[in-house]
Amino acid sequence: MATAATMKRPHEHVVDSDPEIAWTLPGRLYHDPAVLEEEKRTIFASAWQYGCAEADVAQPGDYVTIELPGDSVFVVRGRDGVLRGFFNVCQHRAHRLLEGRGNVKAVVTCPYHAWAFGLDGALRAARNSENVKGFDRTAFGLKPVQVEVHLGMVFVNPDMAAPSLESQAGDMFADIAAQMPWLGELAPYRDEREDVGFTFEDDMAFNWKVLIDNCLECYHCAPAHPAFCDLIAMDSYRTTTHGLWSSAKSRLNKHDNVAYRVAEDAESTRGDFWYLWPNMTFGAFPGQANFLAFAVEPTGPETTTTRSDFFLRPGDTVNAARSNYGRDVLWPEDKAICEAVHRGLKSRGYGQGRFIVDATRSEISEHGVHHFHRLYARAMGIA
Amino acid sequence: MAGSNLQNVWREQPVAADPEESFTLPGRYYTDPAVFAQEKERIFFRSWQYAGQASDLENAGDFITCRIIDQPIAVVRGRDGELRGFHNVCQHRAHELLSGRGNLKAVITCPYHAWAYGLDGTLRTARNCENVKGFDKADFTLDGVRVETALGMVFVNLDADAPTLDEQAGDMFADIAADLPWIADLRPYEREARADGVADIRGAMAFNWKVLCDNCLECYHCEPAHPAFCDVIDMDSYRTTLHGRWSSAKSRLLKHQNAAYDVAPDAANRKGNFWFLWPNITFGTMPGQATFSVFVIEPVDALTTRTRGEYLAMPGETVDPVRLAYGQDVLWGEDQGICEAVQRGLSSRGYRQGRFIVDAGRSEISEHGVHHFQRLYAQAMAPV
Repeated sequence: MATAATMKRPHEHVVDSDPEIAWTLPGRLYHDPAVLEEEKRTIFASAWQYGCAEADVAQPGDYVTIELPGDSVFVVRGRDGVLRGFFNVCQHRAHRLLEGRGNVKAVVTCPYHAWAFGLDGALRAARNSENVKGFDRTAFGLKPVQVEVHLGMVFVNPDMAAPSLESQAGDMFADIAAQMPWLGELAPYRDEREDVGFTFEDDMAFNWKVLIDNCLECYHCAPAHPAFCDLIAMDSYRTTTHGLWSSAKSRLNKHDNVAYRVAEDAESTRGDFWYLWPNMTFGAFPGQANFLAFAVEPTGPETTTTRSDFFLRPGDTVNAARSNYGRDVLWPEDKAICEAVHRGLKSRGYGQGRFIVDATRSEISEHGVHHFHRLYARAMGIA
Repeated sequence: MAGSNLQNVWREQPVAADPEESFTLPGRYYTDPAVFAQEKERIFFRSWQYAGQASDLENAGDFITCRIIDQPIAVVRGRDGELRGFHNVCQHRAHELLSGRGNLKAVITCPYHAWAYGLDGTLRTARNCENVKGFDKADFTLDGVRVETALGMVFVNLDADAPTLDEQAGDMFADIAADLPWIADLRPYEREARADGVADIRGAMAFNWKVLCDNCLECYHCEPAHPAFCDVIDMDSYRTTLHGRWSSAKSRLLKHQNAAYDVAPDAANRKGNFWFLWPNITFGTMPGQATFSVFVIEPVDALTTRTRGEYLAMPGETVDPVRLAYGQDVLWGEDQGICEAVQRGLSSRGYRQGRFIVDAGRSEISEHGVHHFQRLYAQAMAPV
């Protein structure tokens, strides 16, 4: 039973398929622990998600563990050269198998009771199991997850029955490759001194969808990101939506701008960004050849973390002015927004908003957010 | 059977109307997240809550903000002179609108997408909305909350149907004004330096909010726990009286030179007077210079509490640092340790309910003030 102050509107609008008349997702979906559990089951358990850079698993025995919402998995390069993925859990008493990233010589050994699994997931050795009645090693192989590699990035899907990523977003990867012909020459860039990978704190105080929403429109750019609007020609900013992905493409505004200077002979004079359902963005800012893969992940109903990899030409160092702008200006602007929106979404004085979507899908139109909300509503069975 | 089984056979006793016979609130009310969820609905979102100082809202366009647990609230003085309260959230994509306190020229502008609301809460401009089908600005007016002021303090209530603050506590404010005739002259004291304006004073503390309310409402613990307090305050004079939704505890200075802090012979105030307003606000002052504190005890969750409020003093006066240090470091340190230890005890399988130690004379060590609070609590939490 509602108190007088409980709900602003007597009933909720579903997220209509037409962005021009649709209302946004209700605020209650952004903080309820039961909603997150449902998201884990209906979204993350069967979605393709960013894993790591392919270069990190180039050699036989190379592995990377990946903490997905609800599941820890790992990918490992077999001695046969095949990249495979598994749930990161021993089939004996459920201890985690691997931590971080590294190389295993020949087997994955559980730290608890030393069960050993081949790089193909088969159980090789289980101490004293030969004295166990009817013990069948083949029943204890690691549980596999799907793995695909696109444009030097490894993706995983915990659901072996899910459609291939190629079938879901092959056209997005083709679009990225066409836009960035130099992408294949880049390699993961890691600098101990700087957080160039944009891996932010573990428990940022907002729901994961708040940050996704924020990434999918530039209606807020003029009020919230003045330097960004000097770097990027806002007139050129256009968002287009596709099946499970969308893109936002734009051009450099001017080489000398208040965000960071872009060299006259810079390899890229574009700001192009892609979004892939449910929680990934890819893209590059103007300047040296670069690429960022970025995954936004819930750590709780009201907390979020990110995982990312940043790519540059081998031997290049990151343009400090640009990385400083991202770390010290653009991200603090967005983080403060996300925290304030999260608090607002819990207000009794907020129910749902309207998408500001115009007929021309202009640079300030929010149809990219609608596209995400519509995919979300359908996945959650509330469309 | 060992005493450890007592929990299984104990039949929970209600908080009875008669303090002399009543048991205290069972421990589970201090630990259960489901209880906290009910408290939000039945108590905090239906009661008058402290928002800030009216002296920050004198001019048209002045605003203050606060949060009632997780509800962002703003109070704004309109160009028509009216004080209005709003849910401090943009109706577009839910960004908080205002932060801190300050003055607005003409409109409330959302920092996210620059939607602009009049000081009356109506949506004035929303960039590009003229190109959105069927967009009706009237759908996006800010939700109002009720506002009342008393003794220079601003209160808000999220419940449109609640009785007015004046009906609930007008007699309390009159009592405060009668006891402290200089209160209208006081102003917020060293806000920035003390960082205890509308911000929380001590950060997140590991006890349920009711533990601190309980603790503030009796002086049975003063002698064992606060020896210096019993040297500055005349314990014989300490009397708690109960009213509808508030209570007071009044006492006199014991001696000018004491173990807590020295009180000047010509001090403006020789009383230690405290008021409690349902559900979570205490007001009061200690002997010495004329001061007044507003102290809001607010839950973060079932096991965590914050405090916020204001400390007021005479403009131009410096409050005796020894007195401030006594209150902040000694007295508060004693109480915080108590509250943390009580919280741990309330989770124990070896504790169920206590008894109120209430005597017929309602003496200085009688716990009838705690019973009054817990009885209001039990009534508010009863299923509707």
